[in-house]
Amino acid sequence: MAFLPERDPTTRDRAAALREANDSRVIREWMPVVLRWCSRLGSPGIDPEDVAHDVFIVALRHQDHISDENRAGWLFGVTRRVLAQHRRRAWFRRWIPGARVEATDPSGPDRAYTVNETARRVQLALLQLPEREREVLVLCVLEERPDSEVASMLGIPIGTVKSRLRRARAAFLSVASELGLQSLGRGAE
Amino acid sequence: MIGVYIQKLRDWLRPRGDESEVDDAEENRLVRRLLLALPEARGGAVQRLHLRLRAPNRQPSRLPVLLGALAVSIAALAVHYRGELPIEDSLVSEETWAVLEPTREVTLSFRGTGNIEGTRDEPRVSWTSGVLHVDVSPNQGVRLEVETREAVVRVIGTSFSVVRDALGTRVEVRHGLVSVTCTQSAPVHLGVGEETVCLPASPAGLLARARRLQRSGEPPTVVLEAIDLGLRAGGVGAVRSELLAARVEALVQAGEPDLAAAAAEALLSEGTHRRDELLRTLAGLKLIDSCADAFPYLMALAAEPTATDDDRIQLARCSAPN
Repeated sequence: MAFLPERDPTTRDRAAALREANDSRVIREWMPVVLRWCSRLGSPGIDPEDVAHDVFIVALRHQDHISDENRAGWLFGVTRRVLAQHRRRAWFRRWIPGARVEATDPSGPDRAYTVNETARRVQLALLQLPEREREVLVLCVLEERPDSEVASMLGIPIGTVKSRLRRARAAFLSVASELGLQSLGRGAE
Repeated sequence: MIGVYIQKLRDWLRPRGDESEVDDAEENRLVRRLLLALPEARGGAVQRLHLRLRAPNRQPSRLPVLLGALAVSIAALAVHYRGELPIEDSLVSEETWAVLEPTREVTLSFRGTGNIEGTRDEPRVSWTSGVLHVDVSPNQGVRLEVETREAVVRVIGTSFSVVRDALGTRVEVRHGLVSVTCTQSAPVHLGVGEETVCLPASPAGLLARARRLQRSGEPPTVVLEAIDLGLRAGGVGAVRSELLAARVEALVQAGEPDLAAAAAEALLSEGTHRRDELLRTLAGLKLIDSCADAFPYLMALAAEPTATDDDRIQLARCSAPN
């Protein structure tokens, strides 16, 4: 024991401070983005904040190995895996009485009902799509990211992004029409 | 005809250009408007997440817990599987002592017959007759049982003997504690040096016990106790007849001639294959008082095909005028 060199406490403190600053920067920049992904790609019974929390626990543990250029794709991959875990847990929770998580809206029950009902139907329509088409639709159409960026995030060719997008759009509009949602889209024009 | 196909091919090859892109953009706008209705994160979510991530107890890795649980499950399965291994063997050694170790924790030394079955954790010995010594290593989770017609002996930890013969099942404890349940009785716990005997439960078993007690010179009251138990247990046919005959014999030995005579009379009236013996016994009992009392029995005895010369001589003596 006596022969081990003693660590310099100031160096250790400095490293901790640097790490903390870096964590804060990542959280500040990416938290809203990840939270949006969690809200849009999640499903009923999943709390987006819980998912985002878990995503950042993983992200902060491994962030030293991730470069800034690649961060969006990497974070999206983590989000996708954590969401899958939460979906499985939500599936199990359905069988446990009283264990279901329901997000509450602080703006009041009436407004919550109207907003939630539309949101629920849109989410339902989105959930009819295969996961990879859902992801492309959210990233390309809702977040308006260029095809090249989405291709890089998902690790697929641009052509595949385009074809998936076409299929996803057609399928989504068809389901939306069945659920009586298309009037909502046109009415807002 | 060919011209139509060429025109279709031209249409198909024509660059989609602006028209198609306009359609796509239009559809994108429509889809986007719909998707904007999706739920957004609740107000203050970012701040809440900041606070949660800043909290000192970040969620620990579950890997060690999962690995631990996996190891425990594998160990439990191995132990369970090992404990469930079936065992089956015959225990037969009439002449000499034999030793069998069905598992590492159990040693059986025996002279007699029986068999063992069950699992390594719960071996069950059915013991038919003879002497069986059982040694069980304590605190190994072994729940051994020895079952005879009269008793069930359960190991609570350790070493004991089970002797089954005509008298019943006798259990002696050498070490530890044993639970013995005789037929139709509550369990009894026996400690070191204690023993108990489970009496036979069947009329035939109780008859065999009475015969063994008679042969070994036990007091007639003890013999009568076994016989009465056998009669109460519902002996019928030949077994009942033998029990009643044994009762007559025991009453004679107990010095109760009147009771013995009454019992013999009763048995005679039921009809028995041992008629000549009963008549002889009755004649002998009556001769204690007078020849006249014995005479009818001697007459009946002389008419039996199995009558002996002594019977006829006795009849002649009682027939002769005094």
